[in-house]
Amino acid sequence: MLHGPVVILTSFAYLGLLFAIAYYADKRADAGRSVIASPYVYSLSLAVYATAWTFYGSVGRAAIDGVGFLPIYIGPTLMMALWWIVMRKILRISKQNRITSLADFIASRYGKSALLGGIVTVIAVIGILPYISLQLKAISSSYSILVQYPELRMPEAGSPFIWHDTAFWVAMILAMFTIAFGTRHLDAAEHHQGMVAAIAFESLVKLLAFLAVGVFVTFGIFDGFGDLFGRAAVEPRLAAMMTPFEGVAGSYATWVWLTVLSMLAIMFLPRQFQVSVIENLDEKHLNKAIWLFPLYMLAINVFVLPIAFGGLLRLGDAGLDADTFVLTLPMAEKQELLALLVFIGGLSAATGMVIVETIALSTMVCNDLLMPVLLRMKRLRLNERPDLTGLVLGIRRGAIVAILLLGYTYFRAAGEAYALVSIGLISFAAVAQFAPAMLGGIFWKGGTRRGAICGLLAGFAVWLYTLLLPALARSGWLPAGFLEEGPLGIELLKPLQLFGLAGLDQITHAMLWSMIANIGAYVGVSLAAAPGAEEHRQASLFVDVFRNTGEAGGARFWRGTASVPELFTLLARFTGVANADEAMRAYAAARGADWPSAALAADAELVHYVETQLAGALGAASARVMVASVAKEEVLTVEEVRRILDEASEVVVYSHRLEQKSRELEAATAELRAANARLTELDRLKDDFVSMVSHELRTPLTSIRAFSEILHDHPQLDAAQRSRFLVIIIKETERLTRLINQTLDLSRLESGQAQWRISLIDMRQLVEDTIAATSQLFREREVQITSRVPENLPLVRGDLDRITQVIVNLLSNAVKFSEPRRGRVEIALSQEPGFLRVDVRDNGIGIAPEHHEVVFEKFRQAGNPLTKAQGTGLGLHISRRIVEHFGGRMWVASAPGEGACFSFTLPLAADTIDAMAEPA
Amino acid sequence: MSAAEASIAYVVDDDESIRTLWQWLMESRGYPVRTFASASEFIAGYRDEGAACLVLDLNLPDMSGLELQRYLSAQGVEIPIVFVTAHGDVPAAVAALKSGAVDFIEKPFNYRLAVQVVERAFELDRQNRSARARQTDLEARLALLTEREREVMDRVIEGKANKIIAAELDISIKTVEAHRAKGMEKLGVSSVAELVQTMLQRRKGFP
Repeated sequence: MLHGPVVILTSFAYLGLLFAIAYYADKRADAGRSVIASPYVYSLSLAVYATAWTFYGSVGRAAIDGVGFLPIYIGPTLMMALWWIVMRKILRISKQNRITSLADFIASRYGKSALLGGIVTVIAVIGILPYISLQLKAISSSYSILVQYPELRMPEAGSPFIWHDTAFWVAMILAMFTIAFGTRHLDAAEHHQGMVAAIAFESLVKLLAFLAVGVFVTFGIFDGFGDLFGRAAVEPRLAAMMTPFEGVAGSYATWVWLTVLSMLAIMFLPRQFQVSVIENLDEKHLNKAIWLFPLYMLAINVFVLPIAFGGLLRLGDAGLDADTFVLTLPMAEKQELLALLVFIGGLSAATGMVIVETIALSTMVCNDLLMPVLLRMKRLRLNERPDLTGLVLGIRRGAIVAILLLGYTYFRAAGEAYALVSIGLISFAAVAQFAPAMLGGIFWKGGTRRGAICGLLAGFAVWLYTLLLPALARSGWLPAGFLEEGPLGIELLKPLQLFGLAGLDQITHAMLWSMIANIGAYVGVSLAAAPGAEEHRQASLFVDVFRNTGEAGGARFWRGTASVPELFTLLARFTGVANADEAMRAYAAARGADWPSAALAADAELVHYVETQLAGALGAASARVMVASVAKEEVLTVEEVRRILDEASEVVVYSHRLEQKSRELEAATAELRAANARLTELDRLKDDFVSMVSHELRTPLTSIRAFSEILHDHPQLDAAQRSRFLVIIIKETERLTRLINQTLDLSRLESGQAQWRISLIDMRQLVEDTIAATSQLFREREVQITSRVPENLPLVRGDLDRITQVIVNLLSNAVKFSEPRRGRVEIALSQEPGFLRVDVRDNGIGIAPEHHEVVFEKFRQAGNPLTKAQGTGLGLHISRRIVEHFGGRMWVASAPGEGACFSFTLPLAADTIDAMAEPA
Repeated sequence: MSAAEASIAYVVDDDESIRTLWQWLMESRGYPVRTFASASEFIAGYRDEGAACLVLDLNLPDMSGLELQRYLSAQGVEIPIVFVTAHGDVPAAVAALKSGAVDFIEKPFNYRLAVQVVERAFELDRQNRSARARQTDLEARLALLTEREREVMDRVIEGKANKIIAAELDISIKTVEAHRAKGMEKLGVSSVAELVQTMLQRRKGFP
């Protein structure tokens, strides 16, 4: 059943199915109902990473190195975790600048340098050739092995005539399909939705095929994982393979470098860049891909070791290449259908890689290598051709065929000398050279065009010398002595032990040297020379991509003159009239104008718009050249670009300041609101105060008025009665006077308008004088007053009259609340650290603890209400205010029935000279 | 004005002079006066001694005049209250009037007008007391009626003729007449008109 025609027919049927899927997806995309606008399709398309290398080669590697095949899959898994930082930025930059390929990205970043784009393209093409040859080798050998069924042997070396070589025909067929997939028409954004759909489908097929073999080997041939690994563990050679980092499974250095290498490969392989960046429809798809893709990697690796061990156990002596185990195991078990499925799976893996890779490379060759050169050749008069789309498509188709032919050539030249994995790693090492320029380019504004060029060239040169040339040498294209003794016998320059660095495997050795050369040159040269104007602005656009808004970001750097018809003609020439018309209409609509009726201004914005549209078709470097041909741009100097950038950053600064101001305003508003609330509260307090005062004034007034009226109306009242009423009138009049005075006093104290006459006060003297002044009061109530005043008290600083007022108030209160004849009042002075303390103690009715603070409030009195008429309810409040003004405090200690002790402190003069120097 | 019918003035004010004033004002007119310096003193010292009036300062140290008013009302003490307010207490005075105060006097007041306000309150209290007494009397009389007499009297008040009442209660007209006469006697009324008036007054409740 597995005859040549059957296999070939099945293969074509399968490719036809892929094409049908692609065609359907393209139609759907044109209808605006994309089938690939899904994170699952996006994640599956990323699995184009798994090529024939994975499909056949992993098992081959595992059969030699055991778990040593793993770093290639650990790397991408680790990298996915970093994608949120790295890939999201690359995606955003690419969308804003309409990047069409990896080369376009790097060229664009470093000042839209056509030279750089060309270098990247050349490196990519040369670097990827081994990888493409690997796919061709995989397809052709798997075909050859399959059609020998039921025999199991390695195919003979390729026919010397390429017409009889399967690989050549495979290359040609793939070229045809790639042209059909990728270059049927020109898309301004380089989207190939049909291709992506087909790739996603292929990813499913290869996964299913590999899992099918894995399950068959593990559970069909053997008795599950336990049985398989159990048998392997018995064989010492196989057991050693299961231990990482030791012996056959590779050293730490190898693991680390392979992991790093594959981390970079998942980003910078042209096909990975194509599917993950260029074909990405929605940044949000990343979120799911970040865990879906590693899951795919896990699934396709689960059965690698079982198949490898199964192959070694079953076919170890058959002289078969371990790379073929995936295919030969089902064949050995006479599972024809499974073998065919495996072949289709391998075909999927290989074609998927080849199609995407060559499309990506052909875009680069066309946009970044040939077009810039052709457009510069005045002789060709390309600028004057009305429609260049045909030329662009032609170049791309030619490039696809050329790349595949080159891949085939490499296969013929060096393919037989290496296992699949080793071939692939050479390509990985090549694309890893893009890493410094790429990563530096998006995170470091200091990276310059020269730096990038030098870094790339240096890294690539080392790669050529340490990886490509040895590969050719091993195939006999260079003398073997080149490897053994170094070029011209110079030991130090031995390609595999450069400068005497031995003991590393070839890839680790090459990576180490190439990265040192690459990064060293990139950073060194970048730092050595300042970037040009164009580089400056591109660096800013790329590194600050999350700070720029929309595509207009680039327009602020353009200055010059252009005309709308010229720009339109230019756009139409490269994208077709319909596309150009559509683009202009979109541009006009976004500005609320009609195209073509309304007059659009051919300003910087339009020029920039046309340039980005063109960049989608031609790449940034070519687009720049083209736009420059119709728009007369004034050359911006570095200084001018710096200034524009500075202005932009000033805008940022202004906006920060504005935010700051707005925050300050908010704060001020809040403060005002608080102040208003305080004022309202004060106003209410004032109203309360006025109402309280008025109430307090009305009570004595009532007595005065009523008793005077009574006296007036009743002349017949007896003398005793009259005299009693007159005493009340006099007493209430005095109270009224006191009340008015104290209210005024309080209002002065509260408004801060009180006059203070500050002097040094001898408290001892003051107390004695006050006692003398109030002695009449004590005699009237027959209350005893004693004083306890120590010698040599320090002076205090204060207003003599005010402090006298406080003591008089306390003494008269004490008298008031003491029982006549039994009352005892004592005034005592004492010294506390920094303060002088005055205590006025009585043996009167006392004050309940809950009233200790109340007594100091306005118009509040505690204790016996019978005595109220004698007070104003302001004395203690005023006293406390006076004491506090001088920095002291006043309080009361008392219990009902046990008398009260009012105390206050005043700061000593020595400590308060400074504080009191400027009286309030 | 004889001492026997003299109403009592209760004065609650924390100001000694004001209390002295009220003391003299009321005593010189023959009214007994009880003065208190605070609400709690009043609550402790008050007992019902006949017609009276409470002169209450709104602004007291321990319990405000309004609080005392609420307290008395909750305790079922029915005494007319005259509030004494200072300027600025008008809202409080309005609140006091709404919750049943008789009047209020604003400081500083004309002593004659103040006395007049208190005397009006005395008069009101006298009326209230006699109305309450009549009410109590009527209740007592109603309680004397037998059930049958009650049924008959209810229908008499509704204006029904003896004949109809007899038919409704299924008794003879003579019996109805007997119950009616007995009932009228017990309620102390001599005519149907008087009976209806008395009962209506009861239904309206205390004025």
